[in-house]
Amino acid sequence: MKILVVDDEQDVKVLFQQRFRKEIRKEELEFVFAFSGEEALNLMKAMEHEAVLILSDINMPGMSGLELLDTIKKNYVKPPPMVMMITAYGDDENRTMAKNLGADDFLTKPLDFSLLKDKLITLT
Amino acid sequence: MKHILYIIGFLLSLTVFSQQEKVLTISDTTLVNRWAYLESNWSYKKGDNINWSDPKFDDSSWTKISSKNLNKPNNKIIGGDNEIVWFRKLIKTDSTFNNPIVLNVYQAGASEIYLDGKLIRTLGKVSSNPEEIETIFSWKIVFHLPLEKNKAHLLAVRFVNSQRKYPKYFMNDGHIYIQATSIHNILTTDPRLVTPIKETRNYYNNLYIVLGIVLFMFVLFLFLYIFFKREKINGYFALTSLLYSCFLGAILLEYKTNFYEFKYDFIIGILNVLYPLAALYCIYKIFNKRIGYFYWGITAIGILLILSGFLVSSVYTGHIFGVIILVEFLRISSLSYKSDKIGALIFLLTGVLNLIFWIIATLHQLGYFDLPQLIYYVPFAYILLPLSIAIYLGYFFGNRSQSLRLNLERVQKLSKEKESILSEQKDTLEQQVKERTSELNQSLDDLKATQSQLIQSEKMASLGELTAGIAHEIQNPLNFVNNFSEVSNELIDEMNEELDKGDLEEVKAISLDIKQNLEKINHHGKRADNIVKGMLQHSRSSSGTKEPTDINTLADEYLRLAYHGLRAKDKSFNAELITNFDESIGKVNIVPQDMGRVILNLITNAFYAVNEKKQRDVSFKPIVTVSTKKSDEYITISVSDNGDGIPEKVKEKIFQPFFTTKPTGQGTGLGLSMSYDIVTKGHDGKLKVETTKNKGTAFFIELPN
Repeated sequence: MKILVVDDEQDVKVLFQQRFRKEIRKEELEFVFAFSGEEALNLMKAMEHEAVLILSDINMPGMSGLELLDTIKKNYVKPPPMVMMITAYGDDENRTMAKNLGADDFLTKPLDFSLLKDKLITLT
Repeated sequence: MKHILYIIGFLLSLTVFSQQEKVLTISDTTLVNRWAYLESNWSYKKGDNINWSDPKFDDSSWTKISSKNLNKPNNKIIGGDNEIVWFRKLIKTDSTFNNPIVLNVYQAGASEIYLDGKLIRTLGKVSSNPEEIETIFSWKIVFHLPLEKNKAHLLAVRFVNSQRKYPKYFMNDGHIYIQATSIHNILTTDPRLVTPIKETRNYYNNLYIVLGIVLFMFVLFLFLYIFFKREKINGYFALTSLLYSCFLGAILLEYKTNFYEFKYDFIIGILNVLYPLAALYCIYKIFNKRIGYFYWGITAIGILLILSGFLVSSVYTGHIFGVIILVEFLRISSLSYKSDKIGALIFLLTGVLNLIFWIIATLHQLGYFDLPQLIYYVPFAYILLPLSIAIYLGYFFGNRSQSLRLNLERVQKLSKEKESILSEQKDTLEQQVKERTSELNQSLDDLKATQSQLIQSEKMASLGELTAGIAHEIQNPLNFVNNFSEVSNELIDEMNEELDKGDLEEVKAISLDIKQNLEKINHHGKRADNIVKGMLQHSRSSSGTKEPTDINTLADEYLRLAYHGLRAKDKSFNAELITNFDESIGKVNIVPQDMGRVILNLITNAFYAVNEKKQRDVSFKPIVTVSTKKSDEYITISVSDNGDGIPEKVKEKIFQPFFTTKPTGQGTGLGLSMSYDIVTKGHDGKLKVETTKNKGTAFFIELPN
């Protein structure tokens, strides 16, 4: 199962690769990185027949994480990909909006990677 | 010419009362210090015979007369027009006679004087043919009478009463008076002896005095007029005095020649009309009377009288005109009594005095009085009218000077009062100005304080807008710092495990990762540090000092802060951010806090504009572009959006303080005005705006390169 990480911060890729280096090495987890909503949608198209878990930042220039969530949830009905939203601050408003749009989970920065690992392993 | 009439009048009256004498016997003492009329023991006969001059001729049948005027004894004329009359008289000298005798002949006509049958003097030309007669009108023809000691002499006079061409009707009663004195008398400088006719002498002496007074008045009033032209009355009176001086001068000139001549009579006639008219004009002006029919009527009469000088001597007409003027003078004075009592009284008094004088003089002439000395005062009677005007003007100007002086004193007093009031007012004003200035200074201080507060509020407001962005921006690096440090920690554990295993390749690989992580931690730590510093910088008062600053970084930071700030407040908001930085710009000397504030303000406005449009149009794709560009002259930072654009009316006001289109409470209205000041005043740059309706707005910050 591929996990698509969407964040405008480039260093997220390095962080994930290091955080999940063991899992990546063991091929327990596979990450694909996109740095904007638009790029994420393009990758989604390319990975149409692969099971995808999406981890997306909310605050991004251009298409925001919520827009991306909305688009994915609307465009990929069967099977619906799992979308976990990550934002720098976990206010209720964002959380409610994300849930309304169909977000499967909600994480706040700074990311608790051990928690995330557990969740990812459980899901995958 | 009234004078001559009066002289004649007086002389005539004298003849009536003259003393009768017997045959004149002349001794050395007879004629000492006096002129004597040869008036007694004359015989006369009308007709003409040269033998009648002969002393041997028997004239016992001739008519005896005794008269000063030989041709008019007992007030009856002997010789009429062109009639020749002979007069004879016996003169004796005694043994004491030693001083030569001189005669003076005062005549109107022509005469020949014979002594003992011998012609000694011709005065004019006596002829039986009227065409040949040459008349002389003289009052002073003095010549020697060659008498011998202790002897009887016969004095014979051949006289013709003839008229001159002009004026036609004048002195029809030809006259001849003969006076005698010793030659010693006329050689003295005693004026009483030099001038044979006493009355004439006194009259002319007084005329000189009057002329002196009138000339003095002329000079005085002329200069009064010259130095104060507004008082025209002085000019009129100076002219009156001048005309009057000319009149008197002409009389005196005629007198000096000793002969009556028509040219003098005519000129005197003209002046005799002009000067009273001028005097009357003065009276009109003094009493503010309109120059009307009366005045012009009198003037017309005056002109007629001048022209009549060819027929009648001005001796008579001057008299008539004098009376007319006097009547008008009294009339005007009476009419003006109510408006100017003093003036009217002065003129009425003068007029009445004048009238009384002339009535007495006329009565005297008519023989009702015998006042031989009255003629002396005729010149003074003449001067009464001009003198009264001078007195009035003196009174008038004196009075006015007095009232002016009083006015001046009053004005001075008022001025002083005003000065004092002004001074008080000035003090009060100064006090008020001080108070107001102090109040204004206080207000200014308050305003400054308010302004600083407003600026601070604006800063805080924009800071508020940034807070969310800042939180996001700090969370991101913190996320990396935390996670990279945690990962590094794990990696060190792993590295230790690998060391224990002895897999040095893996150890090296892990250590490289750790190093990379540490660099990341360092990088993101600095990033957070910069954000915090930027925030502090933004909220702090500007130091105002310029420092080399990377404009691209500054613009980028604020773009992100603003964007995230807005996103934090409005979750639905999104926009495409396009940055177009000219990397060749390098560092630019600016005040970073101030310029950052300007950029932030423009970006916030751009976001606001696109967001507004987005609210109305869901399909709208907001785009905000921040660009920098370097040219030869300027470094340009532009912030553009694709919003609705700014209406033309609003565009004029956007840089005004407190102008805002945002709803109440959302904007201070100071953002753009502060930005404008920062760019133009703080950086000598320009802040321009270009906007197109429905297409968007672009702001350009142009800083000198």
